[in-house]
Amino acid sequence: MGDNMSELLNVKNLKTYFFTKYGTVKAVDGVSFKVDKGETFGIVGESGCGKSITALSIMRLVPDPPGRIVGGEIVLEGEDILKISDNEMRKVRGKKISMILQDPMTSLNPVFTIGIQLEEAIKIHQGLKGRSLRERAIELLEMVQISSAAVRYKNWPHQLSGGMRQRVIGAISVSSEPRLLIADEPTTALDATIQVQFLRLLRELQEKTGVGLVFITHDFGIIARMCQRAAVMYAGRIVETGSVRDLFDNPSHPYTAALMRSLPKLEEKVERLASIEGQPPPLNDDIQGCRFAERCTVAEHQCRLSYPDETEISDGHFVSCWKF
Amino acid sequence: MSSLLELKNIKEYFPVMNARIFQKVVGYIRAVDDVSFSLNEGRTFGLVGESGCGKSTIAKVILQLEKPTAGAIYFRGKALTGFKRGEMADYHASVQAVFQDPTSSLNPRMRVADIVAEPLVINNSQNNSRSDITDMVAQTLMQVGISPDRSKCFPHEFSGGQRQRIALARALIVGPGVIILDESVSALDVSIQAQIMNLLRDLQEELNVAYLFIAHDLATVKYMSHRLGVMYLGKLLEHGPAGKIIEERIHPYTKALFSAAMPSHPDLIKEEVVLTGEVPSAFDLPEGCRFHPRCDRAMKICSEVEPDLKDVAENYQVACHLYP
Ligand SMILES: Nc1ncnc2c1ncn2[C@@H]1O[C@H](COP(=O)(O)OP(=O)(O)OP(=O)(O)O)[C@@H](O)[C@H]1O
Ligand SMILES: Nc1ncnc2c1ncn2[C@@H]1O[C@H](COP(=O)(O)OP(=O)(O)OP(=O)(O)O)[C@@H](O)[C@H]1O
Ligand SMILES: [Mg+2]
Ligand SMILES: [Mg+2]
Repeated sequence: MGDNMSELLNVKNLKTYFFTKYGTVKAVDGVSFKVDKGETFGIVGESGCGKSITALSIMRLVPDPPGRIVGGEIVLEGEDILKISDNEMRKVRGKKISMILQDPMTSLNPVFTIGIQLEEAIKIHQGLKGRSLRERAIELLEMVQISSAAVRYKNWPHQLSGGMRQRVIGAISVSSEPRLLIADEPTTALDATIQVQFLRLLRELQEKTGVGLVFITHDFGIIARMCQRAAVMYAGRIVETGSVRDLFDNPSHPYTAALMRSLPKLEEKVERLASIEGQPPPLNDDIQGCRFAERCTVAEHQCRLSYPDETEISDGHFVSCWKF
Repeated sequence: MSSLLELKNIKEYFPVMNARIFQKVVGYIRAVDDVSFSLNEGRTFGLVGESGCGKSTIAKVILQLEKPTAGAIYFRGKALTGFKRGEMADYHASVQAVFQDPTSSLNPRMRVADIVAEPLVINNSQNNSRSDITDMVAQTLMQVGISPDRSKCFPHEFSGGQRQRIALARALIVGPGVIILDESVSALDVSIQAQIMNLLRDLQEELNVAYLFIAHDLATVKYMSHRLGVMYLGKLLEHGPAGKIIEERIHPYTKALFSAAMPSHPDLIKEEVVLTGEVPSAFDLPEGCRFHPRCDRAMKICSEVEPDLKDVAENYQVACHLYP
């Protein structure tokens, strides 16, 4: 997974904790992964496993207090962005990294037209003014397939459908021509046929701009459709990372394997889904061992004592499990 | 296999009022527009279609939370409109529902035992004694996999999946013939979703109950359903055996909808049918076929005449001018 030339993002042993009156919530507890330039990297996992907090950590937007990044490195194009000042980070956020959030209703400001919001975003990064600013805004709307962009430009967010709003957000988030785009469940609120449009749009934007994409989802189908490589998260940790093919053809962590067997499939007949009994542990429990051990059918004594190191079981395929 | 509950030509129109002149109706939202299907004992009817197409409204009509604008419901062969009071109480006990969000449907201040017993207490046609009820609660909780030891707990002490089991126990306790499952597994994580779907299938086998299974996710609908209805803006466009519809996808909308489903493996990626054109609203339906503005195979007649559901095979109907 690349020499340093192709490496865009390298997250090393990231730890983000929440210090609450009920104790410390270890939302992200030693997460490491790399993303290459122009690559789409998926992060998949069940609700509450720490996907969004990982994304917010990369943006350095974790609500503080109660949250804090307590350890690790986030290296973007060779620079550890956990070491730079808030001011410098603000520039990185505007220019190099951009993020698309889940809910298209809350990400657009209802009191400004979409044209004004788009122009604001472009102004910060490209210093355009007047006519050329406006032309660029309309060009971006056309790029995300908003028809009659010159008219829509004057619309208020509430005048657009959910799918159109999400496309406008897409336009805003690429307006700075970022190197890294983090999409946190950007299509969860959308209908299937609209989701497909938006996913295609993201792929096209990526082809045009070469942006690296981190795609966060709980949907393995989206991982299969969009990503080259992906990581499976469980209770604040990545348990398995590999090419999408590795994950689907050779899921090696017992959790990944069990998840794959519990997915209903449209293309084939599944007689009976396997289900994983139990539920994830609370993150404020101080668990020394593997967090999946309680639900794992092959767990042994060792698994409850200490957390297994990551093992590379084949080229680029990493698993954290005592089985390996 | 006999028809337990039958919907005949159900229409549900919601009046839209003029904003200024009070009580002046300016039009109707045709949320459900002439829908017929039946639920059979021990079988599941799946209902799919995108947001706002009228799925929940159908559920509400069956539960008599909305009075249909036109059409009739038959229960065990008899029209509801002719029901006497006793028969109606019986109907209300026989038709239960479980909704998407278990948190908001369970009263947070009630103990699980009381939540589950409530429908029995309200509808105590058998004059069960206090201890009978306690026994039945314990038995039903066991059926859904919750230990009766925990019947004194409050809903917040359970996980999302467990809360959904409690909601299901509450529906089961009166021995219903029909359970409406409106997005009941949609909000659950995949590993929990498989648990609940398997439980539902086992209960169906055991109790011969009929399900109306409403969901966005086509793979879960496939796993659960025997028959299927594909809805678009208030109308059934395709209706037949689930396996056949999933295989054949005759209606152009069904094709687009299923092609928008995410693949279950990276080898199964296919180019999606991307629908163009705006989604019309149920308030302002187009002339002719309501899907024609987004249909890539629309002909002249499609914008003029609304197609009826016609048989394309045994027990299999499609509403499209291209067929049969
Ligand atoms: N402000 C906070 N205070 C305390 N705990 C928090 C806070 N924000 C998040 N957490 C906890 O951090 C954990 C990770 O949350 P996160 O939002 O990253 O989950 P996620 O994987 O994105 O889940 P989802 O799929 O539901 O979006 C959760 O257990 C959550 O309860
Ligand atoms: N009480 C009401 N008054 C007016 N319009 C309504 C009412 N209830 C529903 N509608 C409208 O009827 C249509 C169908 O809504 P419904 O909730 O049945 O859709 P749905 O298929 O369940 O969608 P979703 O998948 O989003 O749950 C929508 O256009 C909705 O806005
Ligand atoms: Mg999240
Ligand atoms: Mg609904």
